[in-house]
Amino acid sequence: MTHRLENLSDAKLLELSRAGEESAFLSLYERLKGPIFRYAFYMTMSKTAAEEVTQEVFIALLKNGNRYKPAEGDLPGFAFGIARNLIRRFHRRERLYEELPGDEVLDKLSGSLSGTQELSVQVIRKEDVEKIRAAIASLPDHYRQVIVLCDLCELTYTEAASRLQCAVGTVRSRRNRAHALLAQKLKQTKKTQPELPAAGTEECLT
Amino acid sequence: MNCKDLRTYWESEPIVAINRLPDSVELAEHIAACPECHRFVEDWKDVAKHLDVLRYTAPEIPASVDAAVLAKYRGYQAERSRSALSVPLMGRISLRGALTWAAAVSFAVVVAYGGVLLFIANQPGSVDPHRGEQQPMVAPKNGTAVNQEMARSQKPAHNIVKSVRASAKQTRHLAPVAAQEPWFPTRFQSLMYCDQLSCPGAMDVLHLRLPGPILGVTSASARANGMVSADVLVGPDGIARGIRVVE
Repeated sequence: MTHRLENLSDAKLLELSRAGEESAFLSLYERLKGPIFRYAFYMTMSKTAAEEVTQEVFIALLKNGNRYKPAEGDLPGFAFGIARNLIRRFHRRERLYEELPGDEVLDKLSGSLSGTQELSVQVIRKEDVEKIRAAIASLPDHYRQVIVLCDLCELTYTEAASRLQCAVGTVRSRRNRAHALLAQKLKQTKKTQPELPAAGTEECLT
Repeated sequence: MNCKDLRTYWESEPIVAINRLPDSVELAEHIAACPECHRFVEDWKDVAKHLDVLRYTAPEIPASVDAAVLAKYRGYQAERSRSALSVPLMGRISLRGALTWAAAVSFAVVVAYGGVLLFIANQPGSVDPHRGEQQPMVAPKNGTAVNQEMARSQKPAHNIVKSVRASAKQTRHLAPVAAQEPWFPTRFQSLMYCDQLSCPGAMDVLHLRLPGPILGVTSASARANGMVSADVLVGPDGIARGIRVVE
């Protein structure tokens, strides 16, 4: 049974899922959940939002699966389209609850008070993550989509073009432009950050 | 290799490009020789390094999401099967059929209502008793000419309608208002809209002398001194209801 389902196309699995075959739905879910969750996570930078979007995408696939037309693209592309709309809705909602600017400053301040010499490698790594997250989040939406799909979800240009429903050349040029912008933003954050005193692990242990 | 070749090479498929190293001697030589390409490659590597960190720190999808999605799927299927059971019942009555039935029933109700109204209007006893009950409320208090006229109108209900209709035919050219309002004293011209509901209670008659031009009267007496006598019908609220010029 499982072997039979593995050989079926995504579109066929969706059809069977909508007809009530649970194993087909689970098979389709296993195929798509990872990419959709990662895409939603990198686009929102929120695990909770990514979980919510992932659930909603599959429910929307069941409810509106009849709108899917294989001639217009593959099923993952259709599912990513649903995810993209849900993420846009999430961003619109989140705009109402923007983080207070003081929090970040307070965190940094408390970090400096506890002693900069105790910064571990993990903290530096976390800072790197935050830096790149902030840089990606500040990109225009069409550049962010390409970075997330190509560099973070590791899709090929063709796959990304299918998900975004645009030409491969457009994806390629957008990615190059996005990389250039990211490099520029990372340089800027390096300049604005104060130079921390070199603190090796030897010093942390003492 | 020139700068353009290097860019094209570097910007090929992203999966390959993420961890790309200058694996050919030609490429390494050009990067070392060209400061612009060197900067480009360094920037690219910096971005790729950061993206690598972000990629490796991606959270795993929790099992609770799997369970929630499965629960939602089962709930959706259960709901669909429930609605599928109710579909044959709904299928018997289409929307068009329901609308047709609703229109037919509405038409029947309207026709029946109109018929009842017509029937009531053609029944002399059905309307007049109501008027007969209202009539005493309109009767004037004092014994004036109006009193006499109103007192004359204290007849059996069906006779009132008949007499008023007959008098209306006869005096339409003299007092059209009275023809429209059968309970209103004859020869009085109405000064405001007045029916049994809006003008309840007894009315008084005031004898006044008024300037003729104001009333538009051009009689011989009015031409003599400019004044005319008039009876004004006043309601219990002090508002004039009607007027009658006395020649």
